[in-house]
Amino acid sequence: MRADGETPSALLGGSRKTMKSRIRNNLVGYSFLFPALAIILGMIAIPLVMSIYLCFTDARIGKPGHFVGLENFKFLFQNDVFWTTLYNSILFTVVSVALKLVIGLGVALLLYQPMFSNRWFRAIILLPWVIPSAFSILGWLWILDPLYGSLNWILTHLGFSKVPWLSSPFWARFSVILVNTWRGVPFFAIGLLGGLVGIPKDVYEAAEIDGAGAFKKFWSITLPLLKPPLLVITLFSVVMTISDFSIVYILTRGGPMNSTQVFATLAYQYGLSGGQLGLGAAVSLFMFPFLLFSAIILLRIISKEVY
Amino acid sequence: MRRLVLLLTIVIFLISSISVLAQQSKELTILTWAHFVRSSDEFLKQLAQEFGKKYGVNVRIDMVSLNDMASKLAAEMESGAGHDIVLLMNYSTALYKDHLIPLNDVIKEIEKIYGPYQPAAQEASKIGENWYSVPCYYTPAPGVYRKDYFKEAGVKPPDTFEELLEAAKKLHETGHPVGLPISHCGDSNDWLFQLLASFGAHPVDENGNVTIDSPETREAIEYVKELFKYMSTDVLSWDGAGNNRWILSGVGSYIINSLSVVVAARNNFPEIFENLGLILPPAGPKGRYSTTSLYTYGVTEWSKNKELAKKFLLFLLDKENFRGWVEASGGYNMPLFKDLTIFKDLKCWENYPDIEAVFKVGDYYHLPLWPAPPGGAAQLTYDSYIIPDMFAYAATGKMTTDEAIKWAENQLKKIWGK
Repeated sequence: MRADGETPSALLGGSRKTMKSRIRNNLVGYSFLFPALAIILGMIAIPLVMSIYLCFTDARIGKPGHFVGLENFKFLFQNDVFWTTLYNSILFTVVSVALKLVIGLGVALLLYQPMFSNRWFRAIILLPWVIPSAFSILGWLWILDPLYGSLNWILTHLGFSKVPWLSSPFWARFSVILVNTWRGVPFFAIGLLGGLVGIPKDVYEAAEIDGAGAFKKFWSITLPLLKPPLLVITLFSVVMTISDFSIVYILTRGGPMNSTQVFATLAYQYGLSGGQLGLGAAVSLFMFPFLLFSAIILLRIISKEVY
Repeated sequence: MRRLVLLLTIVIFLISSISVLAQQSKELTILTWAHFVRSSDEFLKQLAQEFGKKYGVNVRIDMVSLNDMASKLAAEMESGAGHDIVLLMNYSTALYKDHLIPLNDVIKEIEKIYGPYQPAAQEASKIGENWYSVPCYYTPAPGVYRKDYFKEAGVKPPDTFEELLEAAKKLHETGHPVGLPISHCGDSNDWLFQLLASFGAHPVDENGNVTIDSPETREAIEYVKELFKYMSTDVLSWDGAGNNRWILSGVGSYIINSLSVVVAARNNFPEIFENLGLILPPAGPKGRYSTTSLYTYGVTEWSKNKELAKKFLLFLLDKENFRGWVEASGGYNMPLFKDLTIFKDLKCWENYPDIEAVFKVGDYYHLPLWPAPPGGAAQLTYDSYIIPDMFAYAATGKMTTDEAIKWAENQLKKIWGK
């Protein structure tokens, strides 16, 4: 019998009895799939189709709206706030994910060392990821506060001038990326640590016998063998970073002058606060191609690398 | 015979259980915000209990944070199901009118007690000939200033924007600048809309035409550019609590804000509270205006208890109950009637400095985009922070005054379509 449960005779047409039992077998199989399928359909597929439909309507909250073709997209394309949002979303995602990757890999390598493998240490590293984001971001808001913020307090006591963390477009972008990176590093670190633990030690021993140094071992053994988890984690991180709402909403609400506006906050602004559901849906739809593109690329690489 | 008695007992038991259950299941539900002043919510709950006892119903009040209010309300309006009575702020009544029932009869009864509502209450709740929500209170935003800092700088509290600018220069020199947000927050929208109106500039006219490109807008922008020189650049990043912190930190000398800052000072910073003064918001060349948050309650069209909901609103605005509610809020909930005589003897005002100025704010109060028609476009304009951004672009030099106006005009035209 083949691994998928189909006998060769069934594949060639088979007897009526075999067909029946095949359907019965499959029915049981499908019934097991049903709950997951229902959840995916109800929670993901239907809302996705609905939001795509909404993009082409002038729906407002509580009103179904009419089909308006590409009007919502025209509104967005002619609006410089949208282009700033697009730029910000790409900038935040690329820079934050790159920083999280590099720092997360560094932390994972550190945690892999025997002297840092203490579970308490690992738990502390996980903290930024575990604390509910609303709390931790509020904490950051206080740290970055221009008046009471500890960061500016430290800087002024060290003789430096205050930094306008949230009031200058450059520093506001910097702050959003900083908080995003701080929050996301543990996800990379712990995920990659799992990957590191899975690399057989004898490969390193063999390399050492051949005279490989630390960098050579990292470059030729660690990195290639870590690629699959690295890519999966990066994919997840891209998805989470581009759709992140809470950091910008709590820290800057998209300001100053829309310099930190991202897709999620703009969609909220148009769709929920402003009540223009169609417009809000059109903004949020722009996340979709980015996510789809990154998912396809990364999954392709993974399938090539692993299978 | 025995069987008959048993049967009768069972029937009586069943009927009484069903009637008890039926009575218990009659529930009036209310969606409102979790008030900044906790005692205000406590009093509301107490009133709900009293109402419940009087009418034999269970009154359930769901309180959500102010930040979650918009999305919660949106979800109910979209699904066409939810609470019997909902809190509606500013433009929400106009936005969700189709899901609300007219409350003209309730308003008529209320106006018999208190006299007519202020114009802002009508702007928010009355659409055409019908009132779709019952205006309850607003949060007056007077000028809040530090008496000691003004004295030190040798300037008088500003009655006009011109005087504010002069005071700002001197207060900047003494290290206690004024603080008015030019950022993505409600307070920023509010004072900048009132500044525009008092300079005679209206971004959108009463017919929904975009009219921001005017000499008056230019004048207002030039004013803010000058004022910004004497403020901290932090005003570009402030949230709704930024100006409160400015005063409560002991650094700032003047803000335009609701009484929340005074309540916080009274409770936690007595030395600051002693030095706080209240004054009418500044007047401009074309008059004095004020704008801030307004709270109304509407009855949803899907409610199965419409008449009961109306009774509850009347109960809430009953003279003694409403006075008690204002008292419990520490004076934060300012009634929206033209004549406030009924409320002036409340104890909550006793400790406020210059409370008469606060009572008068209502005379100048309008919705932010007044005289633009209330509704979805007005709400979106407010929530998109177009006006604060226009001022911020010009004040920081990222755009010239003309460029900033052009930018805002484009944004507004996309929303208003004219």
